[in-house]
Amino acid sequence: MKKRMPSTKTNLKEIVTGHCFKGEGDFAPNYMITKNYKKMYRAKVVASVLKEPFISDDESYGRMLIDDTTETIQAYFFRENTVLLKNISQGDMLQIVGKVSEWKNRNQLNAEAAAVVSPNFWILHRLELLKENKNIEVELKKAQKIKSEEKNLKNAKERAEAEEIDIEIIDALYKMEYTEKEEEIDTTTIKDEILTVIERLDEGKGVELDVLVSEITEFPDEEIESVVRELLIEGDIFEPTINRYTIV
Amino acid sequence: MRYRSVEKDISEIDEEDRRISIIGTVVRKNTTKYSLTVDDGTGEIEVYTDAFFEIGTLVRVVGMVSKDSTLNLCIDAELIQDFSGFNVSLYQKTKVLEGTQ
Repeated sequence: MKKRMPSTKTNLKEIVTGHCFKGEGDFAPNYMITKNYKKMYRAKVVASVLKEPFISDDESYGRMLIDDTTETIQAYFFRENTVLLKNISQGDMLQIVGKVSEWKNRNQLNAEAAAVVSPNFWILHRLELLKENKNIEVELKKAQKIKSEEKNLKNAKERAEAEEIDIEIIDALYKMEYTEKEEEIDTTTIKDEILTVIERLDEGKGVELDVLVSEITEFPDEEIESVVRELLIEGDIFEPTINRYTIV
Repeated sequence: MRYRSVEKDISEIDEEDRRISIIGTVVRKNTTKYSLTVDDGTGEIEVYTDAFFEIGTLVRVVGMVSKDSTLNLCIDAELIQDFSGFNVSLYQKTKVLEGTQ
């Protein structure tokens, strides 16, 4: 049986920018490694509901738009969890616990629990997260030293255990190094895609960034936005009016 | 794509901002204009909304920055939350701590 993993305090930015991994082995749970090398099986966030939640007609799924000022994302509810949405309204401040996963190159939060909390809980969550991330930063420095001195993961883990450093951080360091090498995104492909879409849709007034993002579904929004900025700097496109882009 | 709400003091808001989040007290309301004036101690701004809160209520506003007919900056509210009882001074300290991270 799969062991139920506890939740980790985080924010929406860490979820959006983190990297999802499938668990190794039949019953190993999936997890995320955040930019600051936090290994997370389940996320706990505090965020506000920006719009009235949506529930499908057959109540098999639902979603709500949430924002915690670090990022805005949709939180999804599936099957029996959809019922939770019935007690949630626009404007509620919620504590949400859920699994993070990747779908169409975007990380998403699949909620398992959601409870309305007081606004002061938001401050508490942020302070606890600060403290936790500070602790991770200290451990990370020690882990990076071990990684630079040890030849393989097994030795590094043994040393980390002896020095009472969280083995998960060592794991995350090795995993991310391997993944980053494998997945260096070739921005040329995104550039070509953006130029093709602008060429196709521009009727003289330029194409909005939102349209580019909705047309190019195979890359994350942030990546498209950053490549649009690159193209602007390189002079391949220009912005005739705010947020509209056309080819030079 | 949606822009996240960026936490701002009212005095920091400029026309380049898109979606912002402010926390302040309702100091005036205008039911004919469908607006509230919110003051956070650094400045005040008119917030257009159909959700009316009593004068003196501490609120959090999330919305888009725009200009009104007199070209003053204002906020088209997407969300207004009742933040009565919210610890503003601890919130300000938290923001400072996060900024130093």
